Amino acid sequence: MKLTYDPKAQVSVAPQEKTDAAGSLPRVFAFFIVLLFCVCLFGGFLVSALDTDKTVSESENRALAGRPHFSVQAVLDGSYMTDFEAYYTDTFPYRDAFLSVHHALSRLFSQSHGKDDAVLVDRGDKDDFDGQDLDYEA
Amino acid sequence: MVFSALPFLYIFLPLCLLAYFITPKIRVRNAVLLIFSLVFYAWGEPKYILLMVATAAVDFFAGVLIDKNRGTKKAKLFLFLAVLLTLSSLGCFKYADFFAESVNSLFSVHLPILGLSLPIGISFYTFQALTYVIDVYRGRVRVQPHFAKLLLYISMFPQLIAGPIVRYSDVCAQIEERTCTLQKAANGILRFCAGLFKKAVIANFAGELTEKLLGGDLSALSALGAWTGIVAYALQIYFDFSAYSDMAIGLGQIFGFDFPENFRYPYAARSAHEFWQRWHITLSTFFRDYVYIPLGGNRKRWALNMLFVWLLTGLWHGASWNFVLWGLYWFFFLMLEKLWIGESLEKLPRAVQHLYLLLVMLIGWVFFYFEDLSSIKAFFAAAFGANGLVQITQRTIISNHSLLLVVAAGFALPVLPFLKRRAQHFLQRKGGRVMYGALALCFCVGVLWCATAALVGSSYNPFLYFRF
Repeated sequence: MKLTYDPKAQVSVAPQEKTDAAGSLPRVFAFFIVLLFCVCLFGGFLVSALDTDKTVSESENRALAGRPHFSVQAVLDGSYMTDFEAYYTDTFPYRDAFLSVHHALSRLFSQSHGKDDAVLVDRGDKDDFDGQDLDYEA
Repeated sequence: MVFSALPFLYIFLPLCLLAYFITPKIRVRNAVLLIFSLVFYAWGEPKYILLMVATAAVDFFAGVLIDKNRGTKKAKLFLFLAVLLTLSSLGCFKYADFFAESVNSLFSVHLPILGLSLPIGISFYTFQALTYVIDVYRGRVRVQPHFAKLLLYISMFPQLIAGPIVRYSDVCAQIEERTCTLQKAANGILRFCAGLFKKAVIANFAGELTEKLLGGDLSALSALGAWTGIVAYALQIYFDFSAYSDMAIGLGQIFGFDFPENFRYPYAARSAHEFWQRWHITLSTFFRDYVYIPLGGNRKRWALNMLFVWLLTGLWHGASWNFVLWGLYWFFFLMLEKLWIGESLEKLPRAVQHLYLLLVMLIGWVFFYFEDLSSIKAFFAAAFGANGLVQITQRTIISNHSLLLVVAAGFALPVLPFLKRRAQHFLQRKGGRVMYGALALCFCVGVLWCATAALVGSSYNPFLYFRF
């Protein structure tokens, strides 16, 4: 069996690359695509850097991850990065709005509501959660 | 770090773009790209980054020494040493435990198990480093006199962790000089967004369906559940893997690079041979040019060469016997087509050819998904009706995901290119071009929005139980 490349196959089945051929993007739209992409990325960057972090998610009844403490040890064993990603995702700007989009996507593609709708209360590690408090010893 | 993570999208990427485009000087841009690539890798592998830099150093010095001793036996020796050292890191981190466990169970000895975790992207960057040193030896590329440039090639973050396997010869000229245009950047952005959507939305939902059907008790799996499960897995693996290539190629375009294509609608193939010309192209061409042809190619012992290549292809995907089995499975069908059914297959109606490939491909993924023989057996028993044809819960799960299956199948088959070809005349007119541009713009923003929502949604984690 030859593992050779059939150049004809490439030409006839390479539509993924054909973006530059017939329907090339008009320059003005290329400009707007680049502009909007940058606005989204830099907007997300600035807003997430400047907004105040929430500590509790009401819709999930749980404490959100806090900013991890920086230490060389935590960076070297990788836990700082993992914790930072959890913190960043938990406190992403407009998280509740994005969650509702996610629920809409879930309903569309899997007819489900994320992981589950039934929610109990979690205190997490935070003391500033002064919602309903359950007696853990009960 | 991975592309489908919020800190990558909203911290790393904007900062990288800002630093990169702040100056047109290629030297500064290369330096920016190198620094960000190292940070990118260190974010996921703070310690093993040294291993990657060491690999690059070995191949850098080997390249210089091979060039100095060109034509002598020393050059061959340096090539041999470089290949050995480069592959030994792969062998040590990826295959040592597999080998030890296999020998231990076969001969009841006690080779030590190292328990090392696999450094991210090691299977990709070692191969990339090999293409450099081998091509220098063959005289196909000039030796790279600057270590930083070789390190940039090996560590470049768009293609670092999941391919495509970019050869040094593909990008060596682009490292010295490349053009960034608005249209190229816009196309790159579209490609990146498409990849992001494929990964964060389609692949993840398909993965959810796969887990629901195949992740549970296989003795309760109905035939319908088994086949739908493996279809969902085929979609998940295609969308996951090709999405990474899309994002890599798109990011490359933004920075002015042209990376090779890696997937060309593999599920639209009509034979195993064609499938492998469309699936993970940079891997199969790597094995063709750096293993198969040096072994003798079609000229001598070709069947044996093929067997070797497919054993390696299987093992490359993972250090486990099921991957070896998977490689041999494809070897079997490639040989079958070559020696026996190839010509008669081509005479059959196209629909039958497609059906043949789909069936071969789906059964192949069974060996890929299940890691042990007993699960593989249990799956096939279920697929052929041992636990009934339909089961009510599984049917509900499937019907809940029906839209996903339709959409994913549509994108996995060349439906979009077909529509584009149909609309070609329209797209060439001014109105058509404007509409296409507007559509692309909406697509880009909409997809970014959906993908962000899906990534935020991955943290949606309502607590069901108290954690005492």
